[in-house]
Amino acid sequence: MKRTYLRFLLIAALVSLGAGPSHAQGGNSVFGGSIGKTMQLKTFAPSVRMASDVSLPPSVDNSKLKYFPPIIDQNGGSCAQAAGIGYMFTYEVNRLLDRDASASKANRFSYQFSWNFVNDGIDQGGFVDDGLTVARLYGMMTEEDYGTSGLYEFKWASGYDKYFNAMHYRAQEMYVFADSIPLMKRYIYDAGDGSKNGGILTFSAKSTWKIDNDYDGPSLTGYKSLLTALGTSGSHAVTIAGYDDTVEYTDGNGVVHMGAFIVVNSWGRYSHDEGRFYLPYDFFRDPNVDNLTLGSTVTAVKVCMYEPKVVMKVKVDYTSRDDLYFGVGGNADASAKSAKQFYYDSGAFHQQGGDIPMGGNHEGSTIEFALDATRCLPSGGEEYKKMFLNVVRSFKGKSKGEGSLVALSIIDYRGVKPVEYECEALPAALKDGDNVFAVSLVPRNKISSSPYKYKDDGWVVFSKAYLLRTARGKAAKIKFGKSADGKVNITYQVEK
Amino acid sequence: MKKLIEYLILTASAALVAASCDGSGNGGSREQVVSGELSVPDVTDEWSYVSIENGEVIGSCSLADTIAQLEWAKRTDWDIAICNGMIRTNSGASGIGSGGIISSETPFEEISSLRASTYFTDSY
Repeated sequence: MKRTYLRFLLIAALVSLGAGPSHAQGGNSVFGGSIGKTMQLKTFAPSVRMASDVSLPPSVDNSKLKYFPPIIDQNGGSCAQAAGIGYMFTYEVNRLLDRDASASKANRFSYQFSWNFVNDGIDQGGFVDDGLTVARLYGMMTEEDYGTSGLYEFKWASGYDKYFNAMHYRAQEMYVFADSIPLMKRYIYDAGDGSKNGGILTFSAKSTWKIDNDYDGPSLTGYKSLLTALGTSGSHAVTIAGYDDTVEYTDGNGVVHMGAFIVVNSWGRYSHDEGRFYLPYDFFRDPNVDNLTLGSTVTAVKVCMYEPKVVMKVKVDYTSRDDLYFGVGGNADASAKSAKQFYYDSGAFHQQGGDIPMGGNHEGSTIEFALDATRCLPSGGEEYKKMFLNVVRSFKGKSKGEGSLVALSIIDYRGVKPVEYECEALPAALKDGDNVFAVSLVPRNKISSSPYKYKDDGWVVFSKAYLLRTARGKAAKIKFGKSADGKVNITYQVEK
Repeated sequence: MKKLIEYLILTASAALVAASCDGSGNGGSREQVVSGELSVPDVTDEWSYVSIENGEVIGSCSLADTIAQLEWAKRTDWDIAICNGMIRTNSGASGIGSGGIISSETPFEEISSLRASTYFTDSY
């Protein structure tokens, strides 16, 4: 066991250093190129600890637990997101919160949400860890908030509250197991940490497999579908939700092998046996099976809840969404024109989604969404007086879009009640390159003042005239003007 | 008698000139006014309190010092305060005075009547 444990740590460490998973499922990661450098999974800590003094039961079927969602019938080439988000992320969040996945769409996570961020606006596959990266850096939207998207719609939802809700559900760590059958079983049983219920796993394989849907051999879990031959083409991500040591598989040489994992597919509940089939352990043991035929690594995820503190509400009208990416930052200097530093690693809205309008092919070019600005807040007692959004317009793909930032505000959740601060200089057309917009965080609604300002956001003094009533009720007129040495001139005339 | 009448007319004329007439629309009433210009400190995160009636800067306090601002709110010797672009008047939530403010579309030099029919008082 110790040897196996060490091997697991080694594999996990490789992933943490950016070696990356080997279970490609067709298509290229959207996080390739320079953008991808900030999107790798290298900060996922390999921290699973497996105690060795546990006796595993002969079978576990986590697909029957309330945490597991109904069987998915996936859209197009979205298998990796169906397995990673639709099943695994949903299961793990509900396991964390002890919720029933079938009770509400609010308890299930939309694989279409993540898929439409990582598929470049075309029907193509991706990687489980693409979706988990979105879940880690941005969060994951529920089915209730997302709704549905047609196969060629590639919808991005609109609505600040939907995205704000999504930010709360995060992937914390990704675990990658070598093809260690004992470790996988242990994780399924108790997640390796003594949990009452264990986790589930994803992996990929060629999908032209042969499945016997009339299996009537030994079983404690009762499914009738047994994989008898691995595929020779295609590429598909699926989910391991249990195991059964009593299942028997007879290979081509007539040798009987004991035990199988319970695989859940995403081809609807009428596929296989209620969407499930047995995958004999023996295929993972066979040294002649290559990595594409059956992925030699399987993936699990640890999830967490996250509370954003300061969030930007962004409304954008743009016709080719993969031209844009967004940076958030702040500055303690109330007169600053830009942020001390911009953070661009939001995990979403980052030159993603293809050459189509912000809302997708049917929802139009205007959407409202949320960007978490919590991570750019200063530490050590410093307070930002201004926050900045940089909308970077950088041509990508085949068509260059046009559009504007329609509205921007900051919502600060750090107090008793959320406080919203609005950017006043909008809408504004987006030009090539940086488009920096400022929002003042001077808490005007916590400070008493008149409704007027003597300076604009650029710190230029207005020359407007005002009629004033003094403390003693005298009538006066005043106007402000520039002055040197950090002073402002007030010209006045007042009743004697 | 004629000299007395001439004297009274001359005296009255001189008084009107000295009072710097304001051609208000208030039924032709005339206001005695004082004009001036103040140079007010414009320091980030600091309120500068000003008396327009007396034509002087009264004092200042930090934007973060809410206790000091409560003390300023109890006083009536200031009319206006400025900080970070914000304008505070001695009214409403900012002070116990009878102050208020309203913007004018008329340029400062062309405003003939100092008194408005309505004013905004301060709020949070």
